[in-house]
Amino acid sequence: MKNKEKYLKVPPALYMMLALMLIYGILVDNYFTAQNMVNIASQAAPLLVIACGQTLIVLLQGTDLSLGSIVSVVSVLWIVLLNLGVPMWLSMIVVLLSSAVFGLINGVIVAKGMLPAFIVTLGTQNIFKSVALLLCNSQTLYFSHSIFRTIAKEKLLGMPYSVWIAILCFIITWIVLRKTTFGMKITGLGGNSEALTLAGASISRNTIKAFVYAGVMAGIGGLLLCCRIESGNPNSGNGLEFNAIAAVLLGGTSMREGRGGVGGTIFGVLFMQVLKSGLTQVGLSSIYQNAIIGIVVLAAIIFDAFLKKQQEM
Amino acid sequence: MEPILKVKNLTKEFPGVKALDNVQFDLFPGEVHILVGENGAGKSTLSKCILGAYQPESGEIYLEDKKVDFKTPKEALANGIAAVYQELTMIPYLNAAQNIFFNREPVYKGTNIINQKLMQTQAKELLRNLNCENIDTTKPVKYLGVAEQQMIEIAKAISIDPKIIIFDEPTATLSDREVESFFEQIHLLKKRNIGIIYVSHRMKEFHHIGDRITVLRDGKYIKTLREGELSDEELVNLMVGRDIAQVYVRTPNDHSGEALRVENISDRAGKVEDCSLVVNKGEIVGLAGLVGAGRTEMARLIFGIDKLKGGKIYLHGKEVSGKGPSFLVNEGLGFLPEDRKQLGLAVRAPISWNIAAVSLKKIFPHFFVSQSKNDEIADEYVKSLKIATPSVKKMARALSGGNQQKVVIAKWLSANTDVIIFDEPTRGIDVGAKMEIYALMDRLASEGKAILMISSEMQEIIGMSDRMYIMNNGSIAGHIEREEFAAEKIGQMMLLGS
Repeated sequence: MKNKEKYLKVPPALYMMLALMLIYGILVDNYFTAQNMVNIASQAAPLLVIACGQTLIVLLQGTDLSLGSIVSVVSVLWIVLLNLGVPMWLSMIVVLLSSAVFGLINGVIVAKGMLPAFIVTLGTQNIFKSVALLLCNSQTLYFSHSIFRTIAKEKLLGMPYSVWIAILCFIITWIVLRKTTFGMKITGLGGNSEALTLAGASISRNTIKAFVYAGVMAGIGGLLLCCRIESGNPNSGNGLEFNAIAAVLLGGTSMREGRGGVGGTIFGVLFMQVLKSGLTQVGLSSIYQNAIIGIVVLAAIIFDAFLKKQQEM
Repeated sequence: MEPILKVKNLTKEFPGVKALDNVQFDLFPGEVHILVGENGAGKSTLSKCILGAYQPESGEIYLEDKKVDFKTPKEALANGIAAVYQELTMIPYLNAAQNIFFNREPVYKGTNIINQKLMQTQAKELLRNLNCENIDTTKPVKYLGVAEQQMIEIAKAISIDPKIIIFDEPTATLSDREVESFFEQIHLLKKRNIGIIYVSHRMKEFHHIGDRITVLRDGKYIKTLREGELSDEELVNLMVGRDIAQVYVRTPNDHSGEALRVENISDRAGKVEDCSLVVNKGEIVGLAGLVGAGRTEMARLIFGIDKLKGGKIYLHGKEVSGKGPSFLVNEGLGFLPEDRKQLGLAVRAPISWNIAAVSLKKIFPHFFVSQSKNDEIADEYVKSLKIATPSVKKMARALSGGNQQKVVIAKWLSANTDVIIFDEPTRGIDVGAKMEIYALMDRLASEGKAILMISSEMQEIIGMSDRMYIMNNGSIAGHIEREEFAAEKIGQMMLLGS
């Protein structure tokens, strides 16, 4: 039974998040209000969606560094299309298709070239970023439409639609990973890719699928972010890929053995967002914010590694 | 009764080697047919040809009198040939059911969503048929024991309802008790009329499960015989193809002075408990035991890779307990790990680089290195150890196993190492090269080096050691002098302790 406890355990990110909230609760007036919680949730929504996709990539022992750039391209492309007079529904489809194509490019190079995802996406990150800058001529683009406010601000059962969309993406990813044949293969890719070959499953095809999935998730994340800031900004996705990686790792997904899943990622995302939003509320200058975030994330990862080591002893 | 599988005149060539040369083989339903031979004899190549993982250059394979020509293991699988490999093919964070039905999961019609309930029921059913109903099919297999994982592998193989199962060294990772229950499963499979090809070189297992034995040597078919037809020694002579006495040559020399003393050491994981041993200069001391007895763990402790929980280690009379590898290497201790390609060599680096890897500071004390001087030194070792390579600039992975091992030895010699731990020094090396390694070890001992040799090959450890310690379950179960070496006695200690 002792073993069972080991793998059912709640990721430490949850405890760390609660500890953080306590600290903020003391430092900030009216921290524990419904409004504040809703704010944190709606800020976390795009990151959650992106981190869902990133979870698949981390599971197959990689990191997708281009997801932030995909978010940027998507948000710019969407506004460009809308400004050209493309209907809303069509623009969304085109945008999501294009994010799938970006994922496909990553996946094909990684799988067919048998290259580390880290290096490939480091390259495509810059390429996608340039595409975003080209599309908008390095300007922030604006477009006015009621759907932005509807998604980002209007509430259903107390939460904005954007949060529900993110939760939906989370549930879908959870089902995909835990309940489908594709999910088994993703777990297998990270755990023992030899087993895939021996069972007659294709390593490259499933790797490509995972990257396409991550790309589409980044696309959805881009749409949500765009709704929140009501503009298309070529820098809007900057750093999101790293925050997503941090969230996935904090959520207990491992770069080895295919351990973990999206269930832990949600805690990692919330931890990251609670940390970030709180720092602003405390009134800390943005100059120090990055340093604090870096320190806390590092500390959390070291703490997590320490716990794991303790368990293995 | 007709054979279920017939292999005729099979030849498989790899660049430079005939891995299989005109080999024949057959298998009856309900029979365990053991394939034996030294490493490199062609056992695995033959089973891989049957499985469709390799395509033979010539020869025929008949499955139930139909000629077959499988291009992939998947095709073989579809035709009822399953395999249980030496390395487990388990995916650690999937459960037993998910592993058994991997890539063949039962799904709800028209979707990719797995019918978990049905999959669990079927997995439990399969395991119950193997008398393993106590395996938790919902737990990630990572949290199960190796033996349980092995059973799940078997269940996976059986789940396709095969006519033939190929086992490749299936007991290498199992403990004795686990081996016993594994053999029960084999007998159950036989009763179900499944033909079993059993690749192994553990002779003591043959009596328990074998019906017939086919001996391969250097890719050639030697003989097929009934189990029990020959004594173990005769069988070994068939496998090796020459008298064992000629393989293991030891020059008498005097053992003067203590080189390595280990007193009551234990490790933190509980794999080594309270072990002591001594190796003198000029001596080859064997460390025998089953896989998992703690021999490699002991070597890692001595070499300072893992931390001591207790006990003391002396090198040339000086206490070195708790020191790390870099300190010990400077004191003249060397370690040839079991896994040559992963741990012993930088296979993608040139031979010269590998040879100088440990002694860089000794050869080049002034920060800058000189490639030509490095090559010169490497050349000397290539000559004196007879490493077969056109140039020291070649990558280490271009060498054969035996020559790779010589490079690892050269690496330690160049660092003036005088106490060397050999962990499975001849694993994966063909017979001819083995003899060269043995001769080299003998030469090192005559030159006064102290050698601690870990080996799982009984003949090798008996043939080469001056004295022998036997490990069982983390402890030293016995200590025997050369005059008293006897395979039975040693085997008993390995299995049962003292």
